[in-house]
Amino acid sequence: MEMNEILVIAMFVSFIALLFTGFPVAWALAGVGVAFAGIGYLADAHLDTMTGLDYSTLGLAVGRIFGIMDNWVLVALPMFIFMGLMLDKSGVAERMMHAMQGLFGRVRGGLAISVTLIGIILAASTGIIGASVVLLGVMSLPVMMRQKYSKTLALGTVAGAGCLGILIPPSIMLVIMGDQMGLSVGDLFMGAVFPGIILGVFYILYILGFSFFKPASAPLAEDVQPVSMTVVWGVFKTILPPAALILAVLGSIFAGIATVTEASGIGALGAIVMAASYRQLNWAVMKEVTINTFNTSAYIFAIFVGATVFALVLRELGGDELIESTLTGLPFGPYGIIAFILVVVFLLGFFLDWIEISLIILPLLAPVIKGLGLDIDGHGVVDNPELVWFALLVAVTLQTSFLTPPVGFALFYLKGVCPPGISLMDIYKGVIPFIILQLLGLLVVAFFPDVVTWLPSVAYGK
Amino acid sequence: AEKKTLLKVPVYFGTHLTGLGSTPKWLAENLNEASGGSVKIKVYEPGKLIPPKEILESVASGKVNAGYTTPGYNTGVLGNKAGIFSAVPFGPDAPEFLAWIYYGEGRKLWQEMYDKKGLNVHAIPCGIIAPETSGWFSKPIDKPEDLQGVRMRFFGLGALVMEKMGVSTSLLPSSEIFPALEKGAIDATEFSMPAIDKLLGFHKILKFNYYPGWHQPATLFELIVNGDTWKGMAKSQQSLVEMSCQAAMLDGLALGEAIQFPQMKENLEKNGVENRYWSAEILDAFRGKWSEVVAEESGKDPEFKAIWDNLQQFRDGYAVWNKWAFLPRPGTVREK
Amino acid sequence: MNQPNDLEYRIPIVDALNGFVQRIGQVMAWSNVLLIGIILVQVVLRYGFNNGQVYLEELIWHIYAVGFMFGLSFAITNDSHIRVDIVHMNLSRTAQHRWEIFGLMFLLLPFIVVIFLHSVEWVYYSYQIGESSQNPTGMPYRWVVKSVIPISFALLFIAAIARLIREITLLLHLAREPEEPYPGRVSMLRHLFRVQEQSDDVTRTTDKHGEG
Ligand code: NA
Ligand code: NA
Repeated sequence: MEMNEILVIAMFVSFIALLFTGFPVAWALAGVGVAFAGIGYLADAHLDTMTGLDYSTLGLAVGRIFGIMDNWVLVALPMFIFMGLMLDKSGVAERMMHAMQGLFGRVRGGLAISVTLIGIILAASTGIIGASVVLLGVMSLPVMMRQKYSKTLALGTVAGAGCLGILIPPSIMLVIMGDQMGLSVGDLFMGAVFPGIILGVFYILYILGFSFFKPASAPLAEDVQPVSMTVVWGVFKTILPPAALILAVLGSIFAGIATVTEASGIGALGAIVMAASYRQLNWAVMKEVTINTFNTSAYIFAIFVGATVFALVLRELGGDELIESTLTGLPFGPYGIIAFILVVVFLLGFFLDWIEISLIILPLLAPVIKGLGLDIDGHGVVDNPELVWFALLVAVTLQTSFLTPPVGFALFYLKGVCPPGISLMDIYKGVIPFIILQLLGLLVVAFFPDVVTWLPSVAYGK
Repeated sequence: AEKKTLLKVPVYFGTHLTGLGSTPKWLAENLNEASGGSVKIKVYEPGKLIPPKEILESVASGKVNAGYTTPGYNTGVLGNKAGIFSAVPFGPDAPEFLAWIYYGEGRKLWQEMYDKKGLNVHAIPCGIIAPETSGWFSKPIDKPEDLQGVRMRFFGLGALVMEKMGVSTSLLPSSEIFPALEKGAIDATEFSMPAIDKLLGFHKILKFNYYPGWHQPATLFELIVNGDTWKGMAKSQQSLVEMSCQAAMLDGLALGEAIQFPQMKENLEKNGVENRYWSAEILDAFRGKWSEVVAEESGKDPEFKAIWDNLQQFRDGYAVWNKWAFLPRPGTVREK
Repeated sequence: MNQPNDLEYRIPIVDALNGFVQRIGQVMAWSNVLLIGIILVQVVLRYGFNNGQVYLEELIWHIYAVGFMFGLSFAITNDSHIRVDIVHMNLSRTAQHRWEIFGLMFLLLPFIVVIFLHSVEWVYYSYQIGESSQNPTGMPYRWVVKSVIPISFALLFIAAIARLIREITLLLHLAREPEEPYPGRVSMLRHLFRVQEQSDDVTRTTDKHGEG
């Protein structure tokens, strides 16, 4: 093994080891980058490597940070975050929950279905995994507990539905993946629609089946009103505004009317208008959402900044070549390599957030996937269909890894907001069926790539 | 033996863009072989090491020891005169351009442009392509007014002409053009030659492809090497790099000339693209606006004027040869 | 978060440094609202009047860049940068302080210093040569937006130093340990969604918006 390859491996290992000190990920990335620039410099001097790393080379990081600053695709990120946080403050989730209880009150598992639907509609806004799990948990767990739902069903539903948010567009994860892999964000958004819906449908079918066979796990509310037109109208009224907002955002991208940046800005404005129309908008709310958007964007972009330094030094050490040659040298064939990558991503998803994976791992993988010569049909419209398909496979895999015991992120956030009397073990038991459903979803996407590529091809085809 | 040198070369265009981005890759492969390891080039795809816009600054300050770009992409730093060393609207075609660069004062002025700005780089002309297409549009442009209000991606000095025609221009990097078209952020674009434009997919959205390449009759590219790195290289290494660039120049030109016609056939027959030649009226309008641009730029920047005058003087001389030596280019004579 | 939280427990110098960074952050946070406004103007001009402006497009990313770059230091003052929480929460307080000091000294601070020094030179270069946008009708004075990097890294330095002082003080037991029932991001998310402390907030969903 060549010296620089040893350095590449040492760099990865140091980073992962440092994560276990609990130090912020962004700064661990940046710090390891700086340290290995120094190590590379010493290696050139004493170990006959040709990394060319030194203090001056490290200055390239400044230009790379500026490359994040003048990236017009990523402008959508703080805008979608603002939109999501403002939607939360508008109280629309509570309204939907309340209205849907009336509609689904007579269906066994209706409450859990409401949670899933709200997860799909609302999660579509922020795409921050912790946020949607926390929001759904805070809103629905007490109600489900009061209605004597089985703990496992309630917890599983919240975790499963909360994770859908990173997949269903507009998703900031897809914005970042598009940017990192050089793909059209529009293609990714459209590509994610069916996988998201398929998972949502799986969840609902499971909830219906489970509560049918185990009625005690999902009791009906005691004070159910008969479903009247008023109730239906009430549900319609509460769902319409957020659904219209999200459809307007997606639709304008879909129809080629607006860029993703413009759509995100208008979406943020729409959320303000919605909060105002519900009389939830005041100076304090505006200020809080503004500051929280600022803070949330910051901790996401910090990882961009850290990762760009890490990637710079990794590249100078020859990390790209090492990963490419290792992966393409695997004796599995193209689809075996994809399966291998997904397993690795799944395992990494145990301790890395999607942000780190999208920023560090995906850019390293894109050229490998491109070189595999996969035959994925883009219907003559979708560019790099194999990369779009691959990005969504990764997206679904990541969702699953966030749910997986013992350390899935979603579980961890859920535990943070649980009512008393719920143990981590309850959560583990609850999510297992949803993990199986997600793996099913993953298989569907893997074996039927058209699930991903068909919609964008229709959207952008003549 | 001399000290081994590794030139790390971030490039402006992806090397998958055959005929444009592929030249530095060709340079690296051939130089690495020819030098027997004494001087090596390692190419970094756009953004892998540094965003393309930062290449010049990074080379000048020594953060990276070399880069592959073209002066016209660095007008934000070098001023519009840099555009002259990329492509001159209604200017020289490839042989004449190279004559000025190598055996006129072109190359000297090129280097002086960097020296006067205090940029510590050694610039080596290292690639040239024949005319580019002058744009892809969604509708026919029959008269100058049809250009009014069009939002278009446009490169170099030609962009200043288009601005005067009422076009709102922006200089998007290659990877951002198609998404911008797709989303309607721009209505039209030019990028490069048909075989290269094909790789960016313009034909899927825009069906009217305009010729001739009045804005870029020939386009030059450069390898810039940090001044200290250059001085630190052995004579033999310097000479290898210089010769390789001359070879890359020839190879790029030959490749570019070879791969356009099959693509134009495909555009016509399979992609429903209509090739159009600008009307005499519009070409005259472009030419008129170009004279205005030259007058304005010469007024604003004496260095622009000096470079321009030098080129014009050379061209006046060349015109004598040009008038007598060549057959008219077959097929280029058009009605009216 | 905007409100002073219980992490700030009376280490005057730390409070002063954090306060400085936070006051700047609280102003800069509004850049996102400004951004919504500019995007709106751009959309109206473009679709209403078929008159897209290159400088507006550039202004959009200028403002966005300000938003996230100034947030980096702000997020340190309230400890919301992403950690591998599950590891962090299982460390003892002493171990947390030790590793934090180690990370600040050997990971974060060297990075800040390197980027700051390089970026100052880089901005000066841009200023000196009068760099402007490469778009003919784009924004001039590129050094202005470029100087966001050294300025935000200076703030990052202040925030990191404040955190270093805090950690050393706590490690040496010179100040009271703060109450911190939930680690990093969880406590932030709890704050974000106003989760009450394990109380019976069943009524939240039903009573807040009575009409139904
Ligand atoms: Na989403
Ligand atoms: Na061009």
